[in-house]
Amino acid sequence: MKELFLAYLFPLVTSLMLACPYRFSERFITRVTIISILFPAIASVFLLYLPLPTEILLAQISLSGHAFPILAWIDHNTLAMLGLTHVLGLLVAKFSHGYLHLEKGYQRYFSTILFFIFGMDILSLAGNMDLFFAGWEVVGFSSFLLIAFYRSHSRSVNNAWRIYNLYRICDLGILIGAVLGHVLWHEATRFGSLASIPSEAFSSTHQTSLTVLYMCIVFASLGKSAQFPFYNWPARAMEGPTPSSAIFYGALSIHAGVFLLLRTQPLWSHNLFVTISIGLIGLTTLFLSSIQGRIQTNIKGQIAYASTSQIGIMFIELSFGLNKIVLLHLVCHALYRCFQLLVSPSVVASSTSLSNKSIFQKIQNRKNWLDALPVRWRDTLYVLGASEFFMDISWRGFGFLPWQLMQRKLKILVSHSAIPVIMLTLPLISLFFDYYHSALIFSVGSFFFSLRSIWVHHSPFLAMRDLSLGLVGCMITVYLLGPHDLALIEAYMIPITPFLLAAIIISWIFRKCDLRIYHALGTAHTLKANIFMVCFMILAGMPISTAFIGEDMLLENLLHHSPLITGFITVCLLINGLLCVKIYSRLFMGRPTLNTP
Amino acid sequence: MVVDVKFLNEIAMDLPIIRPIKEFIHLNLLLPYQHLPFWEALKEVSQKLEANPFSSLEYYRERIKEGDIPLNLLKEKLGSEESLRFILEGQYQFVHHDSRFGKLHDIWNEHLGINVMELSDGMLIKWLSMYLDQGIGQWQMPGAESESFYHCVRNLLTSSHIKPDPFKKRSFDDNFPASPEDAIHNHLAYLCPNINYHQNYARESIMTLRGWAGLIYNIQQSPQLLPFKRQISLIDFLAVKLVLERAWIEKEKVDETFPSFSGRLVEETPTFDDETFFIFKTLQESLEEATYQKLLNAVKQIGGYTRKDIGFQALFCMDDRESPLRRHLENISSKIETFGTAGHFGIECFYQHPEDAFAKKHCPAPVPAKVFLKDVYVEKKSRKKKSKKVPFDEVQPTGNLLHDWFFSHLSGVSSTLKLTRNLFFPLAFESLENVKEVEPETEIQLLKDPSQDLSEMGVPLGYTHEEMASVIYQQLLLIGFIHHFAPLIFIIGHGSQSENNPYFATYGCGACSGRNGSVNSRAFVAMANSPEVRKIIKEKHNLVIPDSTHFIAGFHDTTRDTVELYEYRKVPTEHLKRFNDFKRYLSLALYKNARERTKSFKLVTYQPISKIAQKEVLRRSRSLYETRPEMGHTNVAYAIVGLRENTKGIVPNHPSFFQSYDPKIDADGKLLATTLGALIPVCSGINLDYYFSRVDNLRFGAGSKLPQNIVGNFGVSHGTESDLLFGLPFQMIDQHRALRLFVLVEQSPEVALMAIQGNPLVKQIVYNNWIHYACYDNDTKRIHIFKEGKWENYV
Repeated sequence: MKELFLAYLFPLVTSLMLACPYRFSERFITRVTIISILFPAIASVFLLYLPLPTEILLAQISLSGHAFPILAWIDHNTLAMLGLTHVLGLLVAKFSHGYLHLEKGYQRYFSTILFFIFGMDILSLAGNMDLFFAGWEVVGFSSFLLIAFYRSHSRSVNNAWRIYNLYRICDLGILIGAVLGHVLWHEATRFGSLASIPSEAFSSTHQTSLTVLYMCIVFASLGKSAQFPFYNWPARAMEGPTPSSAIFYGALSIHAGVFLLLRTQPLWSHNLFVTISIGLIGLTTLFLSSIQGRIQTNIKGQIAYASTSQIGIMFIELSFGLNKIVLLHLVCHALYRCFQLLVSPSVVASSTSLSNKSIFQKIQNRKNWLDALPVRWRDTLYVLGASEFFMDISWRGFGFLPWQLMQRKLKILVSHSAIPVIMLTLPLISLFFDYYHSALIFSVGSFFFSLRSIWVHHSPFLAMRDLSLGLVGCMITVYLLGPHDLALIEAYMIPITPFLLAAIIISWIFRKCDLRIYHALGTAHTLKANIFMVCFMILAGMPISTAFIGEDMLLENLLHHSPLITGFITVCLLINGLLCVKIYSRLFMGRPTLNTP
Repeated sequence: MVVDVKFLNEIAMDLPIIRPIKEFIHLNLLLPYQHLPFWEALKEVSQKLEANPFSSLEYYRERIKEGDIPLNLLKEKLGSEESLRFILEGQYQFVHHDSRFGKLHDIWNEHLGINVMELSDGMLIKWLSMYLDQGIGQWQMPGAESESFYHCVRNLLTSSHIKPDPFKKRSFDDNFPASPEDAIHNHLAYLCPNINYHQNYARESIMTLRGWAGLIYNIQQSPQLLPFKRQISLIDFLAVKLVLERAWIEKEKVDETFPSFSGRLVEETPTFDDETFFIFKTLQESLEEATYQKLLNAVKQIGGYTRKDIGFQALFCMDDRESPLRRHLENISSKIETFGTAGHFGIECFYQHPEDAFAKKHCPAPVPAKVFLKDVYVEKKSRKKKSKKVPFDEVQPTGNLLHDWFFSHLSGVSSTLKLTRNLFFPLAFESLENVKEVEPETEIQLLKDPSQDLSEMGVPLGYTHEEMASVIYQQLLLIGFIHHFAPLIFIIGHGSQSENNPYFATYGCGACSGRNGSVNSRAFVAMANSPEVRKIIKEKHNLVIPDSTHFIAGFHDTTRDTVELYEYRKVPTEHLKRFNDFKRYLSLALYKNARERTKSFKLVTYQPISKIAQKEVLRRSRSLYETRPEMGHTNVAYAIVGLRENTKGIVPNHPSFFQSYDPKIDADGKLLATTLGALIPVCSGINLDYYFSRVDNLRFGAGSKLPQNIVGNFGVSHGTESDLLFGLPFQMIDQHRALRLFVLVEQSPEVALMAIQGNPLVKQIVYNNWIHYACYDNDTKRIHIFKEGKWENYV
C-alpha cells in the first residue's frame, strides 16, 4: 500500500530531470510529462478503494534524535483535490504541448509545471501541517518561476518577486501555525486527529495559543487564495504563458487557501470569532473585487477578479460550515475558470461578435445597478474601484515600504559602521545576562541583520554577508536557548552549509552589481544562475533537502522556550528565502540597461 | 508653447501605426519614414528607437554556409578582407538596453528614489483602457461617451468624494487645470525647469507608452475605427500623463529641492557604427540579390506557352497563399487556366450582413469604398448557422456574482469536457470533405433602386447596371482576360478560420482589409452572370462574354484548405458534368496544397499523405492551443505581374504574389499603373510588416503570443498592465526570412517606368528602394532591374 505513494514522487523526479541543462526534444518532454502525471493519477484512483477517511504513516524520518513523520490523510477533500490536480494537469500539459511549440524555455516550463503538480500532490495528501507547509512552499515557488517565465521582461520579474514576497509573508502564518501545533499537541498538527479532539480542549488552557493558531491559518489562506486585503495580486500574476495562468490562478494554486481552511475546519469552527471573520473577509472580498472586476477592461484581469469574488463566496460558505457545498463549488469553479482562461484570447474573435448586432446591442444595453447610484457616489465608487480601494498598498507595500522606512526613519540601520559595533557588543552584552536574555539579544541581532540584508544593501555580496551573520546569530540563539547541544543545529546547518557557501561565492563574483536594477546575466552565466537557484531553494526551505525538516524541528524547539524569540527567528528564516529570490531575480533576470557594469 | 500640434505630429512619426486588432492591416512599420531611402530610414530609426534593422550575424552566417549568400558576391561587394573575416569569425550581438526614453525622468527617479514612470504609467494605462474600452468592461467609465479623455478623467476625479492616491484634495485643481493645454504648459515647467529640454521631456513621456500613444494617434486621425466612439488625442494623453507624473512627484517629495536639469543631455551612443552598418547592409543586400537571381534565372528559361483547349478558368486572389493552389490545379489538368488579381475583384465596397451591427470595408485599405452593399436573407426566416466558435458568453465573466456562481457549477464539468474533446478529438463530428457546395442564406442587394437615391456612409447603396458593367469590364481588362472565355469560370475569394487567435484578421484577405473575400466573389459572379450587364459590356466595351459561359463564386479557406462553392443550383444543366469534374480537380489540388503546407509546419515530422495532411490542417484551425494555424505570408518575397502563360512553370523558392496582366493590350502602361497602384503599397506593406517584425521582434513586433492578454477588445498587451503590443507576434514570423519584396513586371522598361511615375506613393516606394523593381521584356527576352533611378541590364 505504502509503495503506491511513491507514484507521487514521479513528477518531482521528472521535474528535476527536465531542469538539467541537457536539451530534450519537445515530443520527449511532453510524453514524459504526461506519463509522470498519469502515474500519480492512477495511484489516486486506487486511493478510492480505501475506507475514508484514512490516515497512513508512510515513513518516519529521524534526524538527530527527532522524529519527523510523513503522514498522509485521505478523505473526500483529498480525493477531490487530487482528481482536480491530475485532470487539469493532464489537460494543461496536452494544451501546452502545442501552445508552447518552438518557444524558448519549453523545457523549463514543463519542469516547473511538474514541480507544481508535485507540490499540489503533497499539499492534498499531507496528513499534518508540516508536510502541508512543504507542498505549500513548492506551489508558491513554482508560481514565482512561472510568473517570471519571460525572464527578460522586467515587469513580469518584478511582479513575480512582489507576489513571492506576499506569499512568503503569508507563509509566516502557516509556519507559525505548524510550529504552534507542535506546542499544543506535542506533535505536528495532524489533520486526522482534529475531528477527534474533544471540544473541551478548545476551551481550556491554551486559549490564546489556539486563537493565534487560527489567525495564522486564516492569514496564510488569505495570501494564497487572494482574499481581502490581498486580493489584488492575481490580476498581476497573469504574466506567464496563458496555460500556466490558467492552472495556477484560474484553477489550482488559488484554491489552495480554501483547501487549507477545509482541512482545518474542525479546528477553527469551534471559535465563533474566527468563523465570523472568515465570513466577513469573504464578504468584503466579494464586494470589492466584484466592483473592481466590473471595471477591468482586460480579459485576464476580469477573470482574476471574478475568481477572487467566487472564492469570497466560498469563504462565506465555509463560515456557515457548508463543507460539501464548498468542495463542489471549488471543483466546478476551478474547472470553469481554467477553461475560461485558456480560451480568453478568443474574446476578440468571438465578439467579431462586436459587429454582430445582438452582441453589440447586448453590450450597449448593459445595465449596471451601480449606475443607478447618485452621480457623485457613483463616481466615487468608480474612482475607488480604479484605484483598487487603496489596497494596492498591500501589493506595493511589502517589497517597497519597509525599505523606504529604513532609508528615512531608521538611519542607524543603514550605517555601515553598525556591523562591527554590533558584532562586538552582542557577545559582550550577553555575558552579563542569563541564557534566555542573551538568546533574546542574539535573536534581535539576527533579526536586524536579516532586515539589513534585504532592504539596505545594494551589493549581493554584502547582502549575503548580512544574511549569513543573521543565520549565525540564529544558530547561537538556538544553542543558548535550547538543550545546549549541537544536534539541532547540525540537523539544520549541515544540509544548507555547502549551498550557503556556494551562494556567497556567487554573490561575491557579482559583488559589483547593484541590486536596485536588473542585470539579466542569466543567459551569459547559466551555470551560476542554476547553482544559485538550487542554493536558494534549499535556503528557502523547499522540501528537496532535509534542511526543511531541520528548520521545522528547530522552530518547534524554540517555541517550547519562548514565542517571542521564535517570532524573530521565523522572520529571519523567511527573509533568507526572500533575499535569495531578490538576488536571483535582479542578477539573472530582467533586461539590461546601459548602467549594467 | 513648445508642445504644439506640429511637435506632436513630429513625435507621431516614431509611433507605431496601431489599429484595433480586428481591423488589422499589414502596413510598413516604418511608414512615416517612407520618404527616406530604405537604408537611411533604417539607420535613423535604429538610432532613434534603439532597434536592430538586421537579422543576427549567426543567421547570415548560416545563410552563407547553406550557400544562400555566395562568398564571391559578398567579397566583391565588401571590398575588404577584414570585413569578410568579421562576418565569418567575428562576434556581434545587438543588445537592447531600454535606455533611450527615460533620461530626463531618471533625474527625478534618482532624486526621489522611486520610479516615477512606473507609478504614473500604471495608472494611465488603467484609465486609458477603461476609457477606450469596446465592450469588455462591465461598467463603463462615466462620461466616456460624451467627453474627451482629459475631461472625462478630470470630471470623474472632481466629482469623486475621495481622491485616489497621488492626488490631494487641496491641490487637485492645480493638478488638473481646466484645459489639457494648460496642464501640459504648467506641468512641463514644473517637471523640467530647463526650458530647452521641454520637448525632450514631453517626447520621453509619450514614447514610454509607444503602443498606447500610437493607437491614440490613429484614433485621433480616424475615429471611425472604434465602434463605440471616443474623443481622444495625443494632447489629452500627454496632459494626463504629465498630471500624473507631477502628482506622484509632489507626493513623494520630502523637501523643496529640485534636481538639476542644467547639464547637457548625454548624446546617445550610436547603435551601429558606419562600418558595421555597411557590413550588415551588404550582407542583407547580397542575400536578397542571390535569392532573386534564382527567380530570374528561372524566368529566363521560360519557353513560349501556347493555350490549348481550355475547359475551366478560375480567378483567384493574387495572394501568395493562393499561388501554390493555382499551380496544383494547373498541373492536374491542362484544361484549367488560372488568373490572379487583387482579392476584392474590383468591387470597392462597404458590406453589411443582416446580422451585423456595422458595415465593413471590403477593399484594400488605401482605396476608398465606392459603394455600399447590403445582404438580405433569401427567405425571411433567419436560419441560425451553427457556429463552432467559443461563444462570447463563455469567455467573459459577467461580473454578476450569482450568475457566475450558478454558471461555474453548471458549466464547470461541461467546459472541461469541451476542452477535452477539443484537445484529443478536435475533428469529431467534422466532415473531412474539402470541396463543399453551399447554398448561401443571404443574397447581396447589388442593384441600386433607381427610384430613390439612397446612400449610406457617404456612398450610394448599390450599383446601376452601367456601373456593374464597368466594374466587371475593368477587372477583366486589368488581368488581360478579354478573350477565350471557358464555359465555366470560377471566382474564388479567400479567408481563414482559426480558434483562440486574436490575430485572426492577419490571415484574412489583404485586398479585402483583412476580411473574407467570399462577399466580393459572390457579388462579382452575380454581376457577371446578369444578362443586362453582359449586354452593356457588349454594347459599350465591345467585349462579348458568350452566353454559354457561366460564372461560379467560391471561397477558399487558407487555413483549412477547403473550398466552398456557392449557388451550385444555378449552374446550367449542360455544365453539370464539367462542374463535377472541376470539383474533383479542385479537391485533388487542395489535398496537394495541404500536403505541401504541412511540410512547412515544424511539429510534423512525417512525410504526410494527403488525407492525413488534410486532417492536420483542419486540426490546426480547430485546436484551441494552436498558435500557428497557418503560416500566413511567411517568407513572401516576390510579386510577379504578367501573363500566367509565361510564369506557369516556375516553382519559386519563396511564396509569391501572382498578378495576371497582359502587356500586349497595354501599350501606354495605364493598366499597369492601376494594377501597381494597389499592388505595390499592399504587397510591400505585407512584406515590410513581416520584415521588421522579424528582424527586431522586441521593438517592432508583439513578442510571444503566449502571455498575451486582450485589452478592451481593441488591443493586446503582455499581462494586465503593459504597453499595447503592435506588429506581428513571434509565432507568426519565426519561420520568416526577412527579404524585401521583389516586384517583377512583364513589360518593356519604358512602359514599366511610366507606370510608376504617375502615382506618388508607388514612386516613393520604388525610388526609395523599399522594394526591388524589375521588368522582363518578352520581346527582347531581357530582364532589367531598377537601381538608383535607372534601369540596369541583368545578365
